[in-house]
Amino acid sequence: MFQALSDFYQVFVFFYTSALFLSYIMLAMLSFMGIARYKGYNSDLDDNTLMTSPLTPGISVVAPAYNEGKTIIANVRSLLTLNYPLFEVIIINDGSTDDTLEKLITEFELEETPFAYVPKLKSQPVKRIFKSKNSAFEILTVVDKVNGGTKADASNAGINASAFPYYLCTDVDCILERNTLLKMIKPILNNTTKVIAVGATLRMLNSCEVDEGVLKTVKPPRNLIPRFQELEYMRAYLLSKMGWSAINCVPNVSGGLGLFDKEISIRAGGYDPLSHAEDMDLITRMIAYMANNNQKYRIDYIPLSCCWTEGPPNIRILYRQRTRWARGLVQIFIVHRRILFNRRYKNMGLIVYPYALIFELIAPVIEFVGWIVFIILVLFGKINWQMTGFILIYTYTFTVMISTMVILWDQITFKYYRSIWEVLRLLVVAFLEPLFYHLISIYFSIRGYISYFTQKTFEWGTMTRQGVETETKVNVNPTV
Amino acid sequence: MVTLSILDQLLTYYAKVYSYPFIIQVCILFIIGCIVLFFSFLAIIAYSRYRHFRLKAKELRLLPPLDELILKHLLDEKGEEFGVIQQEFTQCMGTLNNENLDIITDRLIFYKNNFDLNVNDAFYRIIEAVGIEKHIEKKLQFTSSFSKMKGIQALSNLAITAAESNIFPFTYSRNLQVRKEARTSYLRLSKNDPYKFLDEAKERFNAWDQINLLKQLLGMDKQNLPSFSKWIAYSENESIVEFAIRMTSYFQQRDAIPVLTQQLNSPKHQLRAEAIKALGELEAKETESTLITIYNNQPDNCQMEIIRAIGKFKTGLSLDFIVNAWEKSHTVETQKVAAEALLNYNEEGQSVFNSLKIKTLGIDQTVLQHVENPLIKFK
Repeated sequence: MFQALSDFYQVFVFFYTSALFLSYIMLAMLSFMGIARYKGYNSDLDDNTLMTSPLTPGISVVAPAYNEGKTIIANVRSLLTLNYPLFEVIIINDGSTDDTLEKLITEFELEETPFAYVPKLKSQPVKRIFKSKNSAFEILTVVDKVNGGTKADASNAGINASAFPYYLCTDVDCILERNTLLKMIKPILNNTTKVIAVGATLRMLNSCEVDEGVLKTVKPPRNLIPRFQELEYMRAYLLSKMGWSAINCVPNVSGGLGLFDKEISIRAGGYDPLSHAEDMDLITRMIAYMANNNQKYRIDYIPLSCCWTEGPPNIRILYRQRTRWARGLVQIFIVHRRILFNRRYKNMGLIVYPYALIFELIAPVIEFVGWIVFIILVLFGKINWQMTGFILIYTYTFTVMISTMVILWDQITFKYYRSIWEVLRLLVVAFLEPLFYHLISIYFSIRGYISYFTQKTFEWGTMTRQGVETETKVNVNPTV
Repeated sequence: MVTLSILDQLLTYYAKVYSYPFIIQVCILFIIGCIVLFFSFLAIIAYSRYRHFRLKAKELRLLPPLDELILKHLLDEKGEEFGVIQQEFTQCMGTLNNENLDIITDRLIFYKNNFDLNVNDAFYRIIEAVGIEKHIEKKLQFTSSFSKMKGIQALSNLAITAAESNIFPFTYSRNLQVRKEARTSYLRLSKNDPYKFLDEAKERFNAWDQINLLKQLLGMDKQNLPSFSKWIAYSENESIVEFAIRMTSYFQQRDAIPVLTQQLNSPKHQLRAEAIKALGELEAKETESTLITIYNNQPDNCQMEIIRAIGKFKTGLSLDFIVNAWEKSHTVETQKVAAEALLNYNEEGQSVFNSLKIKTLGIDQTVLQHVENPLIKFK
């Protein structure tokens, strides 16, 4: 009986893994076509066209801040210097207990103003709204609200206070590339189908050089943990999301950087303050809204890296982040279970959700069980080591090859790193990742799933980060 | 002998692999494929970086003297002979091969777009002497659709009017992006029938097409602009009608007021809203009573545009209408528009605004304060 089960499991895992690999190959081809198309049909001349056109639509940049006193000034200045002809910056002080608000008031000469704030989306109450007396900061609005405990709650308040038809959601501690708005609005404008959201690549800020909130030099993280994440992010954005974007199956637009159609996101109910995966939750509800109203939509991704964020620098903080992501994934499938395999929701119901269920939610469980079965078979001396070797090398070489390919895709898109040695430093982690980081990730996912079903409340908490290399030596202490 | 023994070994391996289970055979095939791909990717990464940095280094070396040379010829009022110009560029850049011609083209586009240099003849002399037009022509004939599109863009950015015949075949390209780019550029470069494709286009214009078209129109002599009212009246393509409506207001074509008024009967509310907005921008005071008459039957977006238009007319006859719109508005957005119209209407409007501020409470009062607050730039 055990032997039969073991045989079945081995064959099942082989075909499961091969199916996963085939899906990667398909995504690789789609993402390559997407990148080539993007590079071919877009140029920097388009930025100039948008900058000078009276028809360019306005964008509200929405950035929540919680206890960001140390870096808030440099970060807000960075947002204010974005390159775009018509935009506003809305900073939401989510009940910070440090001097975030005081610093903003002093630095930007803010004054409390009567503001017709309409709470179209749910959030904790707004206490005051500030505008600057200095015309140099006229595009800045600061919303001071009662702490809601989540970024989602604060983002909703920012969306309520926004004036333009599109909003860019980001974290105040993220460093945005100056032309981000110009690059991200283009897919919305150059489409006859309604584009409800646009995403771009996020990368690790660790080890990059930043001066007064402006990114000066991009470098791969020196620490191994953030460097693993750099490669992981590149794979997630350049391979997965770019690939899915080609067939309009993008599963989510990251909370760190996403441009959204305000009307549709308000009609879909905005961010859910109780969700652990608020970004995927919002996209799911926006898509559900469009499907329920028989409206065609697109969600696009651009391959450019537009946002740099500091990733967890050590295992302890990574654990907290990843278990939260895992809880979020379980929650998404429970909350939106009606979408799974539902023809009404087209791509979302028939491709995105089933794929995420089979290859993202269940994958850590299958792999975890696989390791247990493997250990049992070793103990019983039932392992054919030669054949096992082939299978392990098969998965290992494939993973390394895919990671190398993603690095190539990144090089095709733009050469962010100055030297080949920096590229090679990233390549080194492609070899190490399957041996260490991947195993840790599985463990974190399993712990996240267990904690979702066993714990009743979750603390969001804050984490201390190590800070980026800045000429002014400013430390960054964002929240997870 | 050595070759034979390697071959023998390979055959032995093959026989061994053939004896393995099917799954393992697949694995081995994948492993070989992955290793080959891995090394290929590495080679491509190395080569692409080498090419990129070689080009960057070349640009860094050549751009300062090239800029100097371009500026010299652009600012040279008498104009050198073609042969002299060509010789100087060859001296500066070396052979005028494709790579160097691309660098020169990019720099010329940069100067054309970023500096208000009224020196079209000087640009043309450089283009002719260096052979940029022929270089782009070659690109249009033998390259991918991406390069074709960029070639068409370059012709349009450099305003090479002689290129009309080169672009024309692409105006019917099967590739949508190339076709759109060619048609937009044709509008700027054609001397015969530049607006041909506004008459013919069946596909929907998206926002980017409109932005691109406006860019071309802005690059043209204002006196040569057509009357956009004909497309408002006759085009069956809704997106072209929408674009034409916007252009009438942007270029202040008051002769379009009658056709814009006709658009108030359009079954599409987006077109009605655009037409009302244009009437407001054109200060078509004669349509005030018509707009007030239709107000109650319109959706929110049209109602807001009507209030804005009436506010812009400032005839002094419609204060009651604006106050009424304020009182009956059921969304904060409409309230804001009505309050702003009231505030900017005339002195009487301002005093009504001030009295409303005293009378109202809660969100109504906040809306009035919001609208008059000079610190709030985007109301």
